[in-house]
Amino acid sequence: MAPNNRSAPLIYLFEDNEPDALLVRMALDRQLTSFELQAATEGEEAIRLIDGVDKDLESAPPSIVLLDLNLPRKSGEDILKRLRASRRCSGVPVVVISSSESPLERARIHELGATAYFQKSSDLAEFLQIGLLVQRLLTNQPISGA
Amino acid sequence: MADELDLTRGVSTASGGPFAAAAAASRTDAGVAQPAPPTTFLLWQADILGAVRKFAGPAAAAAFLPLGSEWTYLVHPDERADAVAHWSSCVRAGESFRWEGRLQLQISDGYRWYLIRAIPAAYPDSAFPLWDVAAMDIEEHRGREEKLKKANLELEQFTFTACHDLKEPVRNLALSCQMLQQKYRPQLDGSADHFLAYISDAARRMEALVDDLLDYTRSSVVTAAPDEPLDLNLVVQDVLEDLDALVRDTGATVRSQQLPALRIQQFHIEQVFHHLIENAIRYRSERVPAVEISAERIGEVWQISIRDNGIGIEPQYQDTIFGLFKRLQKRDEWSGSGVGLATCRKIIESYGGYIWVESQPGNGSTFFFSLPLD
Repeated sequence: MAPNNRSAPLIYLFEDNEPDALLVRMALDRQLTSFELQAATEGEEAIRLIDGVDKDLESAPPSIVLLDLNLPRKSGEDILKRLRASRRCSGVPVVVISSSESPLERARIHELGATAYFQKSSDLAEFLQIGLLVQRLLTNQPISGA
Repeated sequence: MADELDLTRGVSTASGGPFAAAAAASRTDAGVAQPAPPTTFLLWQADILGAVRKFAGPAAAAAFLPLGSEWTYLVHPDERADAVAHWSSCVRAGESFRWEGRLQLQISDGYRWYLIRAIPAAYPDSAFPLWDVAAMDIEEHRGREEKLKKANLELEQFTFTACHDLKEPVRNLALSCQMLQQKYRPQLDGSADHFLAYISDAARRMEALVDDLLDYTRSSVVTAAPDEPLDLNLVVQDVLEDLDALVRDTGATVRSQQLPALRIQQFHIEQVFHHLIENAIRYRSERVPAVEISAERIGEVWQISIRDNGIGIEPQYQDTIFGLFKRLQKRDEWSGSGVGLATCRKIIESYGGYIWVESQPGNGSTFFFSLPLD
């Protein structure tokens, strides 16, 4: 894993939809002066990233995780559970990004320990608000190095 | 009264009242061991504690509950406490009793769903009040109800996940248009602007169409099996014509052994073969796809198999792939939507069959489905 630049927060982006991933990156570019991004496009890859952080104490845990619910191989819910059970990532803020409008889904996600829920909009300006949300979460939370 | 009971199996229509018929039946049936049909209707009289004092109808002779025992002993252990509590409260209040649950009226029946109704007997002995109890078999009714519930649940799941999966590409389309309009407007001429507006508009209409489609799926229609058997060889031929482009592009060979004719709706079995053959070709390995379709009759069931030499499926996913919107591959690798196998399962199960896969990663997969002969 690349050495973590102390000033640049490490962001995990678990999203299999390429246009959505592109827009999230763009939103982050607009809001954050610097950041390091680790992306996974399927669930098992995401789990491997979290396992890696737990096993390798030298590697930096993410400052924030952006998680799409509908990933191949392992669902977003599975990944969220894994994150919350993780030794080194359990306290990391997790933003669930989903296009679902279901209040039930939202409730379940919060029960599983999501920090925030971001609904993907088909309006560009609204979609790019994810950058603001991430910035707010990053400044409110101290970046944990342990 | 007894004559009115001829709608039921196992209840005599002999005159003399139900209790007389019961007495006659217990005499003639004594010592004759023959499998009785499930008891579909049964009458008895019980005291306030639920103890059976009299049975009615010959079916009573076959019921294995001795007189004097409480009828609630016939109730499934899981539901007995509920039946007893409801009985006591109705009897205490003098209100008619109505309860649905699983009972075993004859050893040969197993537990079946019954509707139990009871009212105080017409000529009560105030010292020893009795209740007339009727048990009606509602097993088939319940079966249909359960199926309907399951179908509704699946439909709910479908609409929920379809919302996500169908709207996503439309949303991406709309967003990409807005990106182009915002970022590249200076470089675009007027007609390009028009085209972008058309695309935006199309995306909006598609979004509306998806919503309509979801409404349509909520009103799904259940169709019965046709009377005439359908030749599956012809069905496979039709499906292969549909898949012609894919077969030619991949150089796949699809061989089909002699298949049976079965009573199934053409568009249903066509969908099943379409999804299974398409998957067999699409999820190919380095080898040129080779697909083999065969059929085997096992007892009263036909088992059809579709074998391929593709990438195979890891054991932990062999069950989940039949769920709705379950994909194993990234979007850019394969274009599957995750609906096909779920549709196959829904169709096969609705005909009383099963669908499953046997596979080893790297060694291809064999999808099986079974369909009853009738």
